[in-house]
Amino acid sequence: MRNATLPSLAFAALAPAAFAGSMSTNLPPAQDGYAVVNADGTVARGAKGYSVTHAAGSGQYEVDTVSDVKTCTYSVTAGSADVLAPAPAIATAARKRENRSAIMVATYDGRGNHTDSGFHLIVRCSDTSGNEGAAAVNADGTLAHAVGASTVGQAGTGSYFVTFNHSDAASVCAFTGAIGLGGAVGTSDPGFLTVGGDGGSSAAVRTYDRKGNPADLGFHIFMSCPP
Amino acid sequence: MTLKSAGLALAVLAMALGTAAMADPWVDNAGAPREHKAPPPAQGHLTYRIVVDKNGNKVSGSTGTSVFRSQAGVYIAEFGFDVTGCVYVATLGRTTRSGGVDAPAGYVTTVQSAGFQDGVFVATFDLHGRRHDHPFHLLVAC
Repeated sequence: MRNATLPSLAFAALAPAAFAGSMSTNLPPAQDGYAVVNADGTVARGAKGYSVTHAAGSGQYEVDTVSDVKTCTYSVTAGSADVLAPAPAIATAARKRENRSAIMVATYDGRGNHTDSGFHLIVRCSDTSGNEGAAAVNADGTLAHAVGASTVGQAGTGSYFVTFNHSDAASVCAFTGAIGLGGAVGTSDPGFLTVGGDGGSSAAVRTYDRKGNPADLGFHIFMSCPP
Repeated sequence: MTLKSAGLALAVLAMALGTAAMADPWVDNAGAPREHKAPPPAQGHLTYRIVVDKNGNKVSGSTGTSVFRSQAGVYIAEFGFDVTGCVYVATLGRTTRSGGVDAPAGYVTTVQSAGFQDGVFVATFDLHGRRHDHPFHLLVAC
């Protein structure tokens, strides 16, 4: 893991003056949100108040929200805001220690090098409908935090299952996720994640390193079910 | 469907002629007229979903969703309303309810469809960055 190592320092160095003012402990309660961010760090569309700090060529983006998203879950996919399909890239997400309203997204090429890439990001903090859930899971298979999910287990290297509070999740729900850190801070090693139903209320998650080998990696997973 | 069929026929013709002049929304996501669609419905939830197998068949999903595969690793998922102002996240994943063969690791990217305001253009890749068929789960939040 690159927890609190060079990438974190790079994030901290992006705009320290700007970050200092957002370290308030009086943030509004966690709010769901989203953002579609261009490779150059401009926000194409997003929840009200969202902004991004990015240094060109760094492959790292600090998404500043307007609420405390420390215990929220993030799903991110490389993409663009228009119709131009981007080159394939890995996108990971983690929270930022120094700023509880910030999410750090890192994008990588196939060699594991940081590369600028647009992305789509959903932030899930609550489930008002009763049909959705989300979990942030540490690499060791422990649950960092969750909404609508109860337990996590690990069946082997890079093999996890997440149990949601929906009795038929495996049959009728969809799952998306991303490699990322759960309760920790910093940025995650690049990697891949796949999902699938695991029977009843469970989802299976497999995590891989950038070469496609099973590897223990923290991740965030979303569940979306019919109303 | 007629429009889609015509577009696919054009794409096949373009490939047969060995020309890239006929940009096609079903292959390269460019050069097509936009179909007008209604805005997202005002419902109690804001997330819509579809689960797609590697052949481009819908396995499950929100009411009104559909999908088709235009070529290896290229899919267009349609939601029945204008999604151009929405956000799309996708993850490779098996489509079975329990067990089965895991989806292999690979890349997936999402952009809005050039041809359809209600469409999301999903591209899936192998570990080498080559377009390759993979099953996936897609969420759209508006």
